[in-house]
This record gives sequence, structure tokens and C-alpha cells, in this order.
Amino acid sequence: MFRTKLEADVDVSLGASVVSAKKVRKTYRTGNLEVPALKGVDLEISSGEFVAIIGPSGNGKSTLLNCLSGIDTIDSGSVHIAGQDIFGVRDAKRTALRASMMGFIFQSFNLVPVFSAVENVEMPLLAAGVKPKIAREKASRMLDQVNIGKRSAHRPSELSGGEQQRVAIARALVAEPAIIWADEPTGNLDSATAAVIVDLLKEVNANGQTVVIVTHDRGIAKQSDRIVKVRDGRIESDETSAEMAGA
Amino acid sequence: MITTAALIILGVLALFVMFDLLFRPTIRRLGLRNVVRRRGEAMLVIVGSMLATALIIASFVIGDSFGASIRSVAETRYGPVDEIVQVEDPEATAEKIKQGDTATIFDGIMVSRQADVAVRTETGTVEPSLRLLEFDIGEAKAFGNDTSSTGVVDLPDTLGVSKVALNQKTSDDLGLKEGETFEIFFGPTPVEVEVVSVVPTKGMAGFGQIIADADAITRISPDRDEFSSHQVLLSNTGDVYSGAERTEEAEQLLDSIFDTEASSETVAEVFPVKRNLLENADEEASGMTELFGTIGGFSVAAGILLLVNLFVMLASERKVELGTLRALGLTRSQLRRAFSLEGLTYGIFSAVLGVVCGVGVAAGVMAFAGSSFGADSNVTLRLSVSPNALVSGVAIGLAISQITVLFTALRLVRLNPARALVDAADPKRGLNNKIKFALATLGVIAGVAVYLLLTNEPVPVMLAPVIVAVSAIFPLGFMLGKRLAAPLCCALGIVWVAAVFGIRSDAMDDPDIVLFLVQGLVMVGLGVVVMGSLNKVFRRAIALLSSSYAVKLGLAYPLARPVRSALLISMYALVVFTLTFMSVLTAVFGGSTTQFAAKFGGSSDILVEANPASPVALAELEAVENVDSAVAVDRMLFGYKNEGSIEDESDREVGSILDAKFAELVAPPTLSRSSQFASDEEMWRTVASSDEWIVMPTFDSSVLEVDDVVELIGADEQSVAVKVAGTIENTWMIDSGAHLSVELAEQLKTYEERSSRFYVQATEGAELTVVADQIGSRFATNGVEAESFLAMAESDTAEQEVFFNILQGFLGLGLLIGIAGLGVVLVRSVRDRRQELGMMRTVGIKSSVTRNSFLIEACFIGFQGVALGVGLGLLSSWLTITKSTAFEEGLSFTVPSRQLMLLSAIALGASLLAGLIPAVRAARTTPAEALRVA
Repeated sequence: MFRTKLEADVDVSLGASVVSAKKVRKTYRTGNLEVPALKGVDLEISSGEFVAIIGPSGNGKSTLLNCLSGIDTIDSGSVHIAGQDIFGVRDAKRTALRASMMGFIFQSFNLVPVFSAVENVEMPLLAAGVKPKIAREKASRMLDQVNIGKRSAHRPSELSGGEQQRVAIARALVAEPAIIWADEPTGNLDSATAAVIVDLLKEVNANGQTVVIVTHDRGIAKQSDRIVKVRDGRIESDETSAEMAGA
Repeated sequence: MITTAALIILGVLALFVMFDLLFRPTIRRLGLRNVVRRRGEAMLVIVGSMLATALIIASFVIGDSFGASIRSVAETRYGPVDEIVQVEDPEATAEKIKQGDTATIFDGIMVSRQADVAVRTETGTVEPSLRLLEFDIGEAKAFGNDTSSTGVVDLPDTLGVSKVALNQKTSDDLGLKEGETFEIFFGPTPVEVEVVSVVPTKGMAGFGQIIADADAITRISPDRDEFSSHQVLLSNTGDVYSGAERTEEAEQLLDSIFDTEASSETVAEVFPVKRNLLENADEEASGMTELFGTIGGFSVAAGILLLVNLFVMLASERKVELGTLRALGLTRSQLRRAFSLEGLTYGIFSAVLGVVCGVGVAAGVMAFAGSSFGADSNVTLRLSVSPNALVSGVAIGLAISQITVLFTALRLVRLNPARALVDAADPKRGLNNKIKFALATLGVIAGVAVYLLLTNEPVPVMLAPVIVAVSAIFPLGFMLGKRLAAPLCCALGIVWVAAVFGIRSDAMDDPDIVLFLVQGLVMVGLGVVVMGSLNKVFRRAIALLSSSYAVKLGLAYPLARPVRSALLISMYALVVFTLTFMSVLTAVFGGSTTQFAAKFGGSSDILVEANPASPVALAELEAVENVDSAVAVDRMLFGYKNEGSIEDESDREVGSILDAKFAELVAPPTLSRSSQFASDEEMWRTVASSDEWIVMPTFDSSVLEVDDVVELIGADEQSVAVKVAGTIENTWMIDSGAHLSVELAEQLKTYEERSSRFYVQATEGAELTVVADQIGSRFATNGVEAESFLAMAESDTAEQEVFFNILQGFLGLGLLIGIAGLGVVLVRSVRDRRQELGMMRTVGIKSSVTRNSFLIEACFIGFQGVALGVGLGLLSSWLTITKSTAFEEGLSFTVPSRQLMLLSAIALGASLLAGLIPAVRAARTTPAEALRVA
């Protein structure tokens, strides 16, 4: 159903390294207070993987996702996305890379309240310079694909939590990104709706797109190919689901 | 009255606040700590709400300053003199007053003689009209209880024959110093005099520009009795100002002494000059306060909208907190009180800043007015700051802001805690249809009733149909749909309010300035609704023009939040509306000088006033180069009575005695004319040759109308009944007064002759200013003053323009409120939308797009406000000027396009500026941080 968007200058063919993080450090500073969030993280993610990042609250899961995706800065180390050092380029280039290669799903949906569902979904396409008419068509199709096409003219405040998250997923997928970053995408949803959302993500992954999901939910983690456990700003374990199950 | 009400409101509020401060720690902490939570934004709130207070204070201080400046003339012109009694036999009159039991009221009684003279210095400087005042200087020095206020205390008791003293201003104007000589043209033959002293311009040395010993100059003039008048000067007990408080007692006493009705031997006329001056000062002060207060009212209204907007945003930002607090057990009342405390804290800081800025604004206005009007005025404009003005301004400003906060808070705390906790929107609350229908019916009935019952009251006449139109929205909504009914009814309301001056000119012929404030507020309020209904059209039109994502984003928020946008748009529109209206008035008056000139001068070009002491022969005047012809018009005073009027001082009229030549060469256009005359020309010819008709000036038209019978009363109480043939425009510039024939004037013996007047027609193509100057210099020693009607009109409109510019500048400060408001709202929007901004940046929206979207949002709000303000301002001014009787007839509507473009550019530029900081902040939003904080 979904196709991976290939770019000439990046290699996101199945099995190739799509995310490569080396000795990534990140410290939060509030006044004189310093809170180290990541303490030298190394991580490789291959194209087409479904990776779950788990760990206790406040141990650096979301920070790791933010740093890997380039929406947050790092203090040291490096992050390469499809071979491109994302912190070695200017913010504008990084933004363009996100627009072309990445999709994001957040726990709190983060939809623009003054936009309708379809307007929210078409946003990444318009940001990438796609013509409005084409963007609208693609966004509508994407909403249909996540089974919320009939609600496309509604604003977020008129949608349920599950519907809002479907819209958020549609927004993440519409530009056919190589990587989907999902930060606790089911955290605000009931279990039935959460299951539907996970199924959607698995479907996306099955079509070749890399999915990286931060979750507390062991059930969701078990459905991934690989589970990365973060504790105290470090990767405590990095195992396949099969290994985890075996253990 | 308003101040007292404001103080009472603040007093009650202070009691509640003190209670909360002392005994309710949670409310205290919430209220006070929220103020310092975001200091930068708190400063913007304070600055935004400070401007309204500053403008209120400024209007009070400006009023006080004008009043105090005029009051100070009491010192510079009258000093200890409170009343002037005009008599023929001053010595006997003074003696008679002294013989009465007057010691408790008067502390000074002295005689003087005054004459209007022309002077010429050795260097050739000529001044056609100065007041020569002669009195016993020794007596004058002891006049009243404060000798220094007389202005002559440094003079010797006697100056000597042919010796005079000049006041400082006259000395400066003429360039004369002690020991120098000059000529006085008291009569046809000049008298040479020497300046022996120059004294300060105050007291009697302010009233008289040239001071001489009693009869020193006039006794050597053969024309002394004809061209000078005698007075008894009276000083009431008390100082320069408090003495005037006893004027009424003084008048009663003088009445009892003279018993003028019974006595025919002494005809004394009492002029309460000091009291009149001080009353005029008080009226001027209150008029200026009202004018600036009303003009500032538009900005104050904008300030109120700003406060509402700010607190709505504050509540929105703190929704989760408010939900938590409600869940934890705080009552709505407690939350409201916390808001009130926070609002009061902002209000107090605003008030302090408002005092400083208000006084600064007033100082600026007075300085500008002083430099613009000062040179030609007898009044030296200066800043006067009274504690009353500051207390009133602070109290009213603070009360307005606190009432606004209170009512806004009442609405804000009505939240559902459960929904607030998850930051979900509250369901729309509204009245059910039955109640809406009942209210609409009530509104329609009330509107119709008010219109029918208060049919001559301007404000109800203006508002009642609007109430009907607004009330009709709901029932009409069922038939037409709400989307059509609301703008339709509001548009009808706008048309009514704009056109009411023409449609109901009977009720609107003497509009109060407050009426214009009401008109502006209502039009803008209705206009914002109409504008809001066009949102979809705007969106589509702009989408056609641009497919930029920044544009889409920039318009999305203002269009999705119509109430917030409406408040912001109203803030701009209110100020721009008034500025547009005033710009149009300035342009219309500025472009109508030729019409004004023709209105007063008719077919003539130049008005020549001559001193009757040194008359000019008509033939000599006509012999001046480029003078084509001239008409002499004698002047007189007479009394008149008609039904309902009582003969008193105010019913004394200046009369211009006209002849056939006047009817032919001058004949000013009439405002109204008896149907018995087919044309103005016929009317003037008839009036000039008849003892049955008279032409009256317009200011009496409220009392007198055409065809009314008027009884004219001459000097010896003989009366003649005449009819009003027509009315003409009058102005202080020429004060032509009533026009009557020579024949009629001869039947009435005049009370008093006035200076001779000539209407001059210049030759075709002659430069009028040059001709007027030639006449002035040729007959300068005759006390001739000549000026073209066009120059008079230009000078008058120039003064109006300066005054309008001052008002526009004052009002322009209101734009700052709009700008501050827009800035605050956008800064808060960056915080409010932080999460969305973070998400947008995350999904790849460039920082330049988010930045531009804020700039576009600011411009869009500004554009709508400017478009609405300019549009309504033009509509209103066009209808008012062309259809209303409130302004002069025949004014042609002019659109000051350059000025309006400049105004629009400034307002839009300011909007862009207001959006700049938030736009930059939005662009700097880092995705992860924004998402994390959110």
C-alpha cells in the first residue's frame, strides 16, 4: 500500500543503514542545573526496520528520538540519516531533509486546531512545495487510506482522540517519507484504538518504510522487529523481538 | 460626577482586594505571582492599558491648561479691575458709587478714559489700532489690595504732558524704548508723544497698551468727546481671581445705586469683565476636556478591547491551571477575584505610567498649540497640571480597566473543570431559541418605542433603529439564514447611523461631539460583524491571489478566531475611522476657502476697517491702485425684541447700514430668504431701500426666522417693527451683524457708533493681498486695517487645520494602543501555538514560513482595521457633509487621498512592526523544545 520515497542522493534501500548515531550526547540546561539526557549513544537502524525504543520515564527515550530525527540539537557526536550528517548542515537543510524523508507522530497528536483534517494532512506536502491541488488530492487519498476520509473537513476539536491520531498518521505518511518517527503514538488512546494505530504502523512498515516508535507499552514493543532499551541516557540493551522473546 | 463615580467604584473594589490580600493567601499568590510570571509580556500589558489612562489624563490636563491660560489673562489684562462701568460722566458716577455703602465690596474705584488710536513711529512702523488709557496714575498705583497687580506701580504719579508709558508687548511690537517719540493719531491731526517708561504687560497696563495721565492726550485733541469713552474702573475686595466672585454682589449694589430704570440722568452700563473672562476660561476648559476626552474616547474604547483581548488570552493560556484550581476546590468567585487582583496590579502600574505619559502628551499638545496659535493670540498657552486632573484621570482610567477586567473575568471563570483539565474546548453555550426570540421582540419594540418617544433626542434617534436592526437578526435568520441576516441587518444599521444626519436633520442640526463618538463606536461595531461575515470571501480571494503556505497559515488563525480578530480589528478601526473623518473635514474646510470668502464678502474682495477718529474718504479709497470700487458701510448698535426674546445685553445687535451700492456690489449670499423675494439680489435691493425689512445673521436664526416680525429698539427706546427678509452667515472675523437700510437706521438713533467699514472690489486679476497691503499702508495712520476675504478664510481654515492636526496627533496615540494590542496578542500567540509551531517545524515547514505567517497575520488584521476605518470614515463624513445641516451648506466633499494613503501606510507599517518580534520568535522556535514545553 505504501511506497518508500527514494532520493537520488540517499540510499534508503531495504537493509541499508538509514539512521546512524555515534556517541550522541545531550544535556539539558536550566539555569545552573544540568541534566544529562543522553550519555554517548550509538545506534544503527536499517531501512525497513520497525524499531521500538522503550525504557522508564525520564531516561532519554524521547530525547533520543528527537536527536535522531534532527528536531533537537546534540551536544556532541553525530547523526547520519541515509548517509547525510544532519548536524553538519544548516537548519534549513535539516528542515528540508525532514520534509522529504521523515514523518512524525506524537502522543498528543499536535494537529493545528484551526485547520481541518485534510488541511493538516496536506501541510507537509505544501511545505515541500507540492502544488495545492495535488497536495489536496494526496491528502484526501491518505485520509481515505487511514479510514477517516469522511471526516476530512472536520477540525481537530470535532474529532475523537483516535480520529485525531489517524489524521496525525496520515500527515506523517502523506509525503511518503522513508522514516516514520512515532513518540508514544498510543499514549492518549484506549487499547482498542491503540491496536488499530499499531496495525496501521505495521502496515506502513510492511511496505518498506522504517518505523521508529517510542513506547511504554511492552505489547506494542513486542510487535516490533527490534527493541532498544534506554536507561539513564544510555542504551541498556538492543535486541530483536525474537531475542527478547527467547530471553 | 464621573470622577466621583469612578472613585466610589475603586473604593469598593479596594475593600475587596484588601480583604483578599490580607486573608486569602491563595488568591493573593495567584493574582500577584501571575503578574511577574512573564515580565516582558506583563510590561506590554501595562503599556497597552496605560495608553488609555494617559489619554484620559491628557484630556483633563489639556482642558485645565487652556482654562488656566485664559484665566491668566485676568492678571495680564485686568489685574485688580473686576468691573468696568461705561458712563458719560465718570467723576459724578465714581462719586455716586463712593457715597453708597460700597466699602465692603469695592477696594478700588477710579475713573479712566480710553480711546482707540493709530500710532506711527519715527522709523515708519505703523500700528492702526491700539488702546490709549488715561487715568490718575497715583490713584491707580493704590487701586485694589495688591498694588503689584496694577502693572503701573513703578510709574511716577505723573508722567507729564505729551508723555506716555507703554506696556512691554507694545514696546516690543513697535520697537520703541524709553526716551523715544512717536505719533498718536487720536484724531485727524497727529500728536507727538514721548515714551517715559515701559511697564510690565499686566493689570491696567495690559488693558491699556498706551498709558497716559488723565486727559493728558485727549485734551489736546479736538475730537476727544466723539472718539473716546469714559469708564469707572472697580476693584472688588479680594485678589485678582477671588475678587470676581463678588461681581454679582457688585452688580446688585450698582443697580441699587443707579436704579437705571428710573434715572434718566445717569446711564451706566456695567461690564463684569473679570467674571466674564473667568467664566469663559472655565467653559473653555470644560469644552477642551470634553473635546479631547471624546476624541480620546475612541482610543479608550480601543484600550478596553485590548484589555478584554488580553484577559481572554490569559485565561486561554491558563486553561489547564484554571481547571486544576477548580478541581481542587477554588470557586469561580475566587478565580475571578484572582483575575481582578492581577488586573488591578497591572492597572496600578498602568496608572502610574499613565500619569507620566498623560502629562507628557498634554505638554506636547500645549507646546504645539502655543507655537501654532501663540503669536496672534492674547493668551499665552502654558501647561497647567492640577492634582484634580491627575486624580480624575487616574480614577476614571483605573475604574474603566477594572470594570472591564471584572466583566471579562466573570465570563472566563465559567469553565468546565473536566474539559479545562484536558485543554478541551468548552461546548458553545447559548440561549435557547424561545429566549432569543423574546429578547429580539423586546429589542424591536424597545427600539421603535425609543424612536417614537424621544423623537428629537439625537442619541436615541441614532441608536433606536440600530437596536431594531440588531434585534431583527435572530428572527430574520430563520428566513434568510444567520449568515445573511447578520451582515444584512448590520449593514442596514451602518447606513442608518451614517445617513441619520441627513435623514433626521431636524434632530441632528446641533450635534454634540459625543454623538460622533457614539456614531463611530456603533459603525465600527456593526462594521466588524459585516467584515467577519466576509471572511470566506477574503479567504477565497486571497487563495486565488497567492498559493503561498505562509499566506494560508497567516490567514488561518485570524479567520478561525473571529471574536479575537474582531476585537483587534475594532481597535484599529475605531482610531482610523476618526482619523479619516477628521482628515476629510480638514480637507473639506481647506478646500472651501473661496466659498467661505464669498459667503462673507459677497462680490467684494477686501474688507477695510477704518478708525472713525481718523476717517477715510471713500473717494480716496477708490483712488488706490487696483481698487475698482468700494462701498462704505456705517455701523451701529441697536436692541431688538421678538416673540420669546427679552431685550438685554445679549439681544443687542451690531448693525451694518447698507445702501443701494451695497446691494449691488457686495450682497453676500443668503442662507434663507423670504419667499417674497425671487432672488438674493432682489432681496438686497429691497432691504437697502426699505424701512420694513432687515437681514439677520445666522446665529440668531434659532430665535429668528425669515418673515418673523422683529421690534428694533433705538437709543431713545423708540422702536420700529420690521420683518426678517433673510439670514446670512456671520463670523467673528467680520461680525457684519444685521443689515438694515439708511432710512431705518435714521429712525433708530444709534446706541453707539462703530468704526467705519468699507467693502472693496479689486480690479480683475489684481493680487488681493497686494491691494489690501496697499490700502493698509496708504491709510495706516487712519487706523485702517485691510484684509482680503480670501486671506481671512484661509487664515481661519489654517487655524482649524492646525487644531485638527493637534486632535489627529492626540488621537493618533490611540493607534499605539492598537499596535501594542496586536503586538501583545501575537507575542502571546507564539506561546499559545508553541506546540503547533514545533510540529510544523518538525514536519518540515521552514522557519521563514512561520515567520512570514505571523507578519501576514499582523498585516491582515491591520488591513481589515484600516479598510474598515477608512471606509466607514469616508461614508460617514460624506453623508454628514453633503446631507447634514450640522455643517455649512455648500461644502464640497473631498477625499484627502494622499493623507489617507499615508495614514493607511503608517497603520499597516505599524502592524507589520507589531508582528515583527513575535514573527522572529516564531521563526526561532526549535521543534523539540516547543514540543517538549508544550
